[in-house]
Amino acid sequence: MSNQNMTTQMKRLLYLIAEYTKIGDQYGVLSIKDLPLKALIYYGIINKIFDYDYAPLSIMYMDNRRFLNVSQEGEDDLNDLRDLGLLNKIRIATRSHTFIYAYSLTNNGIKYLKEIKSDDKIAVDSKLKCKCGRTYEIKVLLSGIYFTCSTCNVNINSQITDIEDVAYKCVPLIIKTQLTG
Amino acid sequence: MKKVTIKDELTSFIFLKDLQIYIAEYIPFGSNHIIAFNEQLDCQRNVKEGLMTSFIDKEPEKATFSIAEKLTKVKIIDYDPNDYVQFSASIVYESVENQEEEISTYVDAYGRVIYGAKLIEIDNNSDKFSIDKLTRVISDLILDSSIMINNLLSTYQRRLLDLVYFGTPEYRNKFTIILAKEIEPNKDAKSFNDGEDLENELNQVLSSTTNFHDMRNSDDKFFYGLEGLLIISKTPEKYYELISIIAFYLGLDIFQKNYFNKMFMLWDEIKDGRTYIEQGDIDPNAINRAKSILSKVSAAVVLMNELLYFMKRSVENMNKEWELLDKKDPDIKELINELALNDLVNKAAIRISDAQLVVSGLTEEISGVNGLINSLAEKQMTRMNESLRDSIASMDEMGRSSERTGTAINILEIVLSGAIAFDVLTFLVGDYAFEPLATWIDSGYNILIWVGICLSLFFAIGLGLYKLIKYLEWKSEHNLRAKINIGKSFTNNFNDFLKNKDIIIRESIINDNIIEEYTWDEDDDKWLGNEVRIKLRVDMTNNFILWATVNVDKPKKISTNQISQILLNYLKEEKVITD
Ligand SMILES: [Zn+2]
Repeated sequence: MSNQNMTTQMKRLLYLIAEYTKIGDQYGVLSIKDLPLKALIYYGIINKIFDYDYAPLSIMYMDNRRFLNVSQEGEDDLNDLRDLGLLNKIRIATRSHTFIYAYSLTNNGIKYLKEIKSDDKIAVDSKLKCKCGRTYEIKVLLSGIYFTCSTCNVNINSQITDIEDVAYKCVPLIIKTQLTG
Repeated sequence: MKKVTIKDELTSFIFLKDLQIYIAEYIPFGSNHIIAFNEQLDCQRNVKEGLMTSFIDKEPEKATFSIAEKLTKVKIIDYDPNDYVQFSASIVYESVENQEEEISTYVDAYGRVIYGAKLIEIDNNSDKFSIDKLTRVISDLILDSSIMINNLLSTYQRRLLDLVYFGTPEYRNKFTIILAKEIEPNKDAKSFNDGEDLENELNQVLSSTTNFHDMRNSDDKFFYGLEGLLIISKTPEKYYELISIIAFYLGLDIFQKNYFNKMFMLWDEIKDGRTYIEQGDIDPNAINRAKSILSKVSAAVVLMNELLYFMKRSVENMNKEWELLDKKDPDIKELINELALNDLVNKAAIRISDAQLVVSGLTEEISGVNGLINSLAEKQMTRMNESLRDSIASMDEMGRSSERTGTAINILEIVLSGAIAFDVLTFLVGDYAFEPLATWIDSGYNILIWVGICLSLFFAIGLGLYKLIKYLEWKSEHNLRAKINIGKSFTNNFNDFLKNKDIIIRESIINDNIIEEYTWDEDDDKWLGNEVRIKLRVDMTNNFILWATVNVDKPKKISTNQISQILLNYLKEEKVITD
């Protein structure tokens, strides 16, 4: 895959990660953990910043599993950005002896930021950064993942843990094992 | 039916027809549990159908089916009093009139729990189901089945699940097996491995699809992922028995992974306990903290050990079922090979013996740390005795000083009684009314001689009393205590200096600065044959020695001046302080 294949979604995703991993004006300093990033992506989807599908997926959440609204397309784009050499994917061990991932920009990733149109940057900033221009502080709690800005006294629920219901009808299925004969 | 609230327009690529959903998990069950479970379900009385009213019972100590807006109706489908039970349960949502979510649940004495549902309709659509929507149905079934089964489990089983699933068993994951008669687009399984839309959708329901397989001898195909298996077959019946076995092993796989995570976490906690003990010299709360960790971990390890027993029994029994499985059908054979089921069956048993080792290691570590706690407690007790002795010594000192005060008062009493005696004498003889004496005093300069005699007498008595005080003081003074104000900053050698000391008491006062007091004994030559106890008070924040006290029991030829000189020279020689 070459840089020509960069879709609008991928550009926005790269810019989003860049903004959340910079210190001052310096890009590529920090890494963003997978879970907060998933929350940003989901919040971006429901606010029309990302044109992805999402579905409930059981993933590691504070030591145990939890169904979260996860976008497989978003995950796929993250992998594509890594394949293009724009992102690093880092594996970190957790307290419960499982692994989580984190993302940071590579030098090429930082260089590529110049090629992202300001329209895309403005779109991402409008919903995924606070109105004061700063990135949100992202809090992962048992009750959900929240975006906060202490300066502006803002606290937004990403809604990533709110699994939507669909209307469905099902009937019992007889289960056969060697015991039931 | 529940209302649709999907916030986003879904773009669906894959559709399935004629859907059967199996959701599998492992829950520690033994025969006893099945008997109890069956009794609870009232099968014994052959009430095979109808409302299980006992489950709407509001008694708090009884398991109840009626939490919030969840399950109500239970119908027994089939059971064996000792081995298994199969029932159907419908999940009711108060907000919805026509609830038609009814699933079957199979539970056996091997801990194999399977929830089964045939999907009739999603969003008023009964012809074909998009994977996008199916994923939401499955996550709903996984969560609801946990709530439903939870009400039927014993408190003990719930405690086990709580332990293995880190306190949030309601969110635990399960293994999903989906049977469908048709898939759209009707392409080879391999072509779903596109790294794009099709694969992304499969990943939603299977979580990372690893195997896209077309059967060699039929049109059947399957997709296998980390948390699900999707089989496309016109004749799904032939897979039923195999599915019930796969359900056990993959359900157990999830359980075992969590089991190991929990075990490693217990190791970490024990490690923390050990660290607290190693810091026990500094932190007086260390023992309590270590003890509370230890009791928590010990309780968990007991349950972990019991879980092993459950898993062992389950695996032994299931392995027999696995052996008995008819593997002749080529598709069955192929599926078994592709999923590496043989390995999975072996792994289940191997993991248990591995876990056995880890649990014994953990048990040993617990008793090791327990030993450390006891010896630390002993050490602290010794120290407490030391400081007790120290405070006894200072009480002794107080006693002696009050003894000296007592001596002074005694002497005062003697003086007073002397004065009284003189008064009595005066009273008897009057103002020199003793004729010969008065005459003698009055003659010449005899008055001066009389004054001289009186003064000499006064001095003689005074000296006598002084000697007496000294004697009495010497008698009560068995120890010598010198407090030396040092007021000098210490050098880098200070820690090495302390390292060679057998510190008996260490006290820390932490305010703005950290003040430490170190107490140790010495009896070498420089102390002129005396046994001394030195206490050094140091400001660790500013590297400053504040003062020292030197206590000499039964002092021999040593004075407080000498003591202070010896100590200062000593500290200089050791290069702890400089001039
Ligand atoms: Zn702000």
